[in-house]
Amino acid sequence: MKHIVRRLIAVWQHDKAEAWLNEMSAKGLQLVDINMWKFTFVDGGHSEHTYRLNFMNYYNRHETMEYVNLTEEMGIEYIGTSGWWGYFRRKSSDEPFVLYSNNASKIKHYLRMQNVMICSNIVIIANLFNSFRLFRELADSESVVFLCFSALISLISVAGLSKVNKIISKLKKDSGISE
Amino acid sequence: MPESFALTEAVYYILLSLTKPNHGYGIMQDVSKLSGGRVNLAAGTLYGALTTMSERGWITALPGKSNSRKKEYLITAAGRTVVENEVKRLRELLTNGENTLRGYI
Repeated sequence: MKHIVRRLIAVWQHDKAEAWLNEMSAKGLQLVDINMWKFTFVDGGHSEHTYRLNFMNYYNRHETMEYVNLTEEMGIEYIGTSGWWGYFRRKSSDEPFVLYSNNASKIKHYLRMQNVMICSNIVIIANLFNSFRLFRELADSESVVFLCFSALISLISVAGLSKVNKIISKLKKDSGISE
Repeated sequence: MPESFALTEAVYYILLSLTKPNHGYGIMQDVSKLSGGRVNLAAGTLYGALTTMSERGWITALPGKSNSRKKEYLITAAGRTVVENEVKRLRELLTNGENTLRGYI
């Protein structure tokens, strides 16, 4: 039986998304498809699979196929890509399932995320300035709503980027004394 | 490349595993075996390392069979030099560490 759950996940919340998918797996609901915020689950074994997300925006089509082929060789199943994230799963076992096993590769993964987030933040902040200009010119209720909405989006995006920056700093600090 | 260049464990073991033609899963298994099960490469780490090492000319992708999705790689002469330099660096670390701890220095 199919279960459809709609859920918005911000780009920097992949760890929360993984935790949620693994909680669903523990309840016997296994993810089979993702389309934007629409997650399709089917009934399966309790904790049958463990889920991990990989930032895919950096890869072109050829690299994505290469990466997916490599993961398949390692017994990992590719469910699909939605937004900037690729969804992967593996049959649960005693061995931990991770997609990045050392600090250097974790840092690279987060740096790719950071690059894309910096670009989107520039666009979002530029839109905030435009909203402010519009508000000063028109000063009507619609421009106030637009300004508030733009300010909210900007705050959320900057907070997200700040979270990613903190993770990168911590990983870099750790890699200064160990791998 | 600077003389004091230090490789990550993952890169070091991947280079060693590519002294013969090898593909993704084979590399992962060889690295685990070489390190006595201590270094277990994850897919993202392995793919990133293979991509970077290919770009630097340390390894090369071998022409594959048209029906095969497995991509095989092999270490190049430049890659062999890199790993030989790393062995020298590790030997220096080991010797200095052992001598210091034994109170020879």
